[in-house]
Amino acid sequence: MVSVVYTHRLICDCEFIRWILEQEDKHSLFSKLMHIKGSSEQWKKHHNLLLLSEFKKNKDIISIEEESIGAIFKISEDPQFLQNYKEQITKNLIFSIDLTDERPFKCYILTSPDYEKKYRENTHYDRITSVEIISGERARMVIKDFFTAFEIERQSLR
Amino acid sequence: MELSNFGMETEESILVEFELCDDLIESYNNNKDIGFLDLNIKKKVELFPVGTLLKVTKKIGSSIKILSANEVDDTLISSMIGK
Repeated sequence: MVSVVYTHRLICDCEFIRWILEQEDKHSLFSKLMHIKGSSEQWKKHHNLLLLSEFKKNKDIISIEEESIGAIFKISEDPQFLQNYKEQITKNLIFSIDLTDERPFKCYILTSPDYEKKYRENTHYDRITSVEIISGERARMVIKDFFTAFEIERQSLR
Repeated sequence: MELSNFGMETEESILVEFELCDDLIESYNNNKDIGFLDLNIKKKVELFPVGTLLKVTKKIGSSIKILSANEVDDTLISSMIGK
């Protein structure tokens, strides 16, 4: 069975999905994310997450069906404690920080280059080291690296 | 019997999931509640190379029945996100 221990969990917002859909290699990015989601040893099918509140609030900026989004990022119910926060960016951040108390103890938040700055300026992100905000080429490289890990494991089993 | 529960046992849901062929076979081998609609689908899944990603349609009710399993390829992704 192809099963990979990835270094980080992946949390995204709708801005990131919109960014993917604008890329020339969107099919490749989509396929890689599907493989990563399905092959995580620690969080099979739950490795890549999108908060339900994020989806409900910003789904209008995405031109694909919920089922297609679910293929790459599982839409996850908001934990109750997120009700304490109003801004969606803060909810995404706090959710990611909460996930890092379990393996693999690190998260990437994938967003658009425009929104990366907004996350970085959020007061809740101050001094956080277990969550990294990534976008654009850096996000593309992380997805590529994770998929390479999947391919190496798959080759070892064939 | 409470009226509100009447008929619940016959309700079934169709789910679409994306999973690796080896995971699907492992689930089938370890869970007797899982079956394939017909054996040709099972044979088809077993023939895929390790690590092949599949779009799987399941009917969930008193058991889990695999209705279809198709390889995720560029054509399928195009149908999901456009060309």
